[in-house]
Amino acid sequence: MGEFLQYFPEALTFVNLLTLVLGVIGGLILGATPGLSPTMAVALLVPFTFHMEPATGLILLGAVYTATVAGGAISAILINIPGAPANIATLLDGHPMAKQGKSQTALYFCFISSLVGGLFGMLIMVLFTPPLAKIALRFGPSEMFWIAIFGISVMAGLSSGSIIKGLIGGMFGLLISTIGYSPLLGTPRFVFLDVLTGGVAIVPALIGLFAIPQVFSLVETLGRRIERPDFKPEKGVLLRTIVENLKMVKTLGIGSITGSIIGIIPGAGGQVAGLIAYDQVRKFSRKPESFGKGNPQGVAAAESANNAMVGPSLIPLLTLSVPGSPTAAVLLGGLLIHGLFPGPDLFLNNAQVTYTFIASLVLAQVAMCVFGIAMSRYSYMVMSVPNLFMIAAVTVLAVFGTYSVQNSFDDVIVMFALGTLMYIGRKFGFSPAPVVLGIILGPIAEDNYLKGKLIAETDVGVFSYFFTGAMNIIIILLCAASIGYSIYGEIKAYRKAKEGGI
Amino acid sequence: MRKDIVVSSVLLAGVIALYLSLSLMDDPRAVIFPRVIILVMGVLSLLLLAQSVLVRGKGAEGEAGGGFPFGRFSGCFVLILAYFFFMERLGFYVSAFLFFVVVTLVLGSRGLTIRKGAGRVAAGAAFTAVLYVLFNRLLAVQTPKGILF
Amino acid sequence: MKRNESVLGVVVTLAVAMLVLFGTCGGALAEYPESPVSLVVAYSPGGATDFQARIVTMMAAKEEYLGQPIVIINKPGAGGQVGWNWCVQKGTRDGYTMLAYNVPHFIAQSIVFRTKYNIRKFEPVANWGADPAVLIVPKDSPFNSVADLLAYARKNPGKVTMTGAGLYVGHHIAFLQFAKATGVKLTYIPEKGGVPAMQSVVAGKVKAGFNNLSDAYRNRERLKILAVADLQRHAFLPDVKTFKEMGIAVDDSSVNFRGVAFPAGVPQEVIAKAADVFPRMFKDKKTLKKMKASGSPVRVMSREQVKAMWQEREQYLKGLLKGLRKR
Repeated sequence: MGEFLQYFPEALTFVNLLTLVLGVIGGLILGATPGLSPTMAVALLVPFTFHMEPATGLILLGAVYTATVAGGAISAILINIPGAPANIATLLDGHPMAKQGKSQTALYFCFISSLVGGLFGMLIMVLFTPPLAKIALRFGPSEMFWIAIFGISVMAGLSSGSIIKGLIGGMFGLLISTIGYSPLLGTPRFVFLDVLTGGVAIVPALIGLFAIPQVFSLVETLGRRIERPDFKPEKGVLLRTIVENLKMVKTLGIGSITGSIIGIIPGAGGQVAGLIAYDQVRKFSRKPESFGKGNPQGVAAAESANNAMVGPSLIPLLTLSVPGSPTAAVLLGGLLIHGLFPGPDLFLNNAQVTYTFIASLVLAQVAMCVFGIAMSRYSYMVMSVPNLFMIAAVTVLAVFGTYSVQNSFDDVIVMFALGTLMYIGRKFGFSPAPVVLGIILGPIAEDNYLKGKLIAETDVGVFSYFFTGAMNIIIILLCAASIGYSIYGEIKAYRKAKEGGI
Repeated sequence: MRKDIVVSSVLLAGVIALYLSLSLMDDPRAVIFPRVIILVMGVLSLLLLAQSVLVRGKGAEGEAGGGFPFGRFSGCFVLILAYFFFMERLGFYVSAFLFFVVVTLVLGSRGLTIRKGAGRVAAGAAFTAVLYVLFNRLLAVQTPKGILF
Repeated sequence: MKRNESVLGVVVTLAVAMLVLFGTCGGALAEYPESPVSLVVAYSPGGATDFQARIVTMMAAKEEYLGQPIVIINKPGAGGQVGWNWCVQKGTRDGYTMLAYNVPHFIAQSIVFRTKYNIRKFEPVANWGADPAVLIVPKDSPFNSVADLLAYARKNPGKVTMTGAGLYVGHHIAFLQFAKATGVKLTYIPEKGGVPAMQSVVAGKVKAGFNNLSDAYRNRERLKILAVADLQRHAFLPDVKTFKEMGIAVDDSSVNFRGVAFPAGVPQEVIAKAADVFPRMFKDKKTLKKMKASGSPVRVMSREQVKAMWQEREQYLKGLLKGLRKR
């Protein structure tokens, strides 16, 4: 902490601040574009840092990383399409808020919660890096397998309506994740068509599942006369929102802590942090039924978790050169080209650059909040774009975002096919969120199961490998608690409904 | 709920077909995980079927239909497929512009004036231009090349 | 609705102005290349191949080299098969699609799997790097030498778990050679890339592993590096013996060579021009400095040298992988 404060002013030079501001604004815009995930944005910018001073280059990457994570919430709230997988949970309550004419308030909640979560995560990182790095290393195949199962246990709660349908959606997602060549075994699976050889990548699936049904339902509304809420810039809501938001201590706390924990676990990726935090907050809420209908607590939980994940996800990266998320992996490349080898000696040999980088990340959190709020004032413009233009623009952006992930036309076809299927599925009461969760968690569960089994067979046997050890038991208990609570909540809701007599 | 009976029957058929296709995979280890998922899915589909048969008539039946605009929907669907077809031939930006213009003109053909039509062409041009400058010029993102860009 | 459509006028004017402004810069040249060249990397962004490809191509836009930038395109999947198959099936033959190859990965895959590529489907241009595999164990491992590890493995067949970056990549080849040369039963655990494979070893989740020399070198504080799978010791780790020195028949067949190639069918003039430019470009002072700073071992080889190396590798791997049928 002492060194951190000592080097903090280094980040405040003119060039660095300018880079920071430009990075944050650019990051917010890129993040808001469906399909441009934080990983993509950082990867696109790495070449630009070749010709910069190491500190400046890293500040740019750090600022873009921070801002794209928050920026993805903008499109989630305004047009019901998450900018990145991490923002799915934001959409669940954010978009209903926007439809009620409260888009600006929703965005305020989003950016303030992002700031709170982001600063919390950075604080954890600055204070506890060495002990947490040790914990990060304890996650082996068995622990990662149980983490994935825990994530799967969240699925049931993500479907508005039937739990069974939520789970079916999740299973569908898990099944999709097995398409293509099994990375551990090299066997092709479910490759019925040529376009499926490469498997279904997460970002194209995400775009398809959310954007395409959105396009089609906009088409449906074209002919109808629907009472549209008046979208005007809201006045005087900023202060009220800040106060209201900061009062949600429990929500922000659960979000920030969940996000930080998930950030530390290497490989889980912050993609699921928002969804897990959202589920926890709802479970602890006194009115769980108000979620999914425009409860600002849902937005606060999701966004505080997403941004709290950023700081801790850098802990394994900086100390062990093990990236905690796909974005951190790209960031690792950015560090290496400037001759910064992550490891315990990074903080000794390159203290100045390292601490400047960390300081800039803290500043980026603040800048992200300020500029995000400033941009929110114009959100009503997006909301009042005629549906006709929205249909065309969203389709083009969906295709662009999908194609640019790995320059694959096959992905575009897969994206559209999945999207059309989801549109039909939505008519029958299925939701896209559990499907995406399944696609993300499937490989984590399967690879770690197979790896764990290989290791266990040479050692203590499969059962004791997966079911003994403090860490395994803790996560198993968490899974059991999560599933148990879901069932309990369902029974309670059922009784309540019965008493009310529907 | 008749809707759910349809869904669960379709799902069950799919589950059985997928389960049978598992025998095509040659590595037994690769089959473990898909088999478990398919079995769980099968159980869930059965539950859904049971629920929909037993709890019949309970709850409101979806949202009010209100007449599905089939013509407009299929028009949009066909246009998107055409867009994909031309994307690799005309290039990303040209096809995006054409798609934007055609979709807005076709879907919003009611009460179309020249003035409105020109506005839509302009909007399409502006939108593609912004995309082009931001992603092609500033960030060097690769897109399918075609006749112009 | 009306107001929005009228505001558009202003936006259009601005956008068109921007388009003209940016559209005019970047003049055209008469000969290849006239526009940016795409380099397909068959691994995800952030991996060693991706990141080195970005460094070695950053000087391409200079007039003395290509005069055009090289754009990296990531097509990851199935250990590289997706990207390389794509190049052969859909890559253009005008010289604007290039690919980054990894030897022995693509050669071994073309032998074991039904791939669209093999060494005759690619036209090598130049090689930029060579990264030998090293045998690593966790810092607190009881094994202090290869002999310790072998002694344990002989007593406990199959109980030594070893990670590597995937199936039929350099690490796997090194593992197969090591197991064959010593006649000991070992268990190979393929991971999704070198970084998670390294992580498993550092965390002690497995007993040993094969990994890239460059990555092991960067993590040397947290590992014990027991041997190098190459013909001579490496400048980064002068104290680490080669397998050959220990009398174990593991040669340099697993060394991970990285370089660029065209899909076969590109005009000869284009190949000739690229084969002339790329080796010079890889040796650019600025490039070498960045490669050194990032701890990436450089080995620049010409088109002819790469061709010979590919042929030799294919011959050897066909023997080593004979038992493994095409699937």
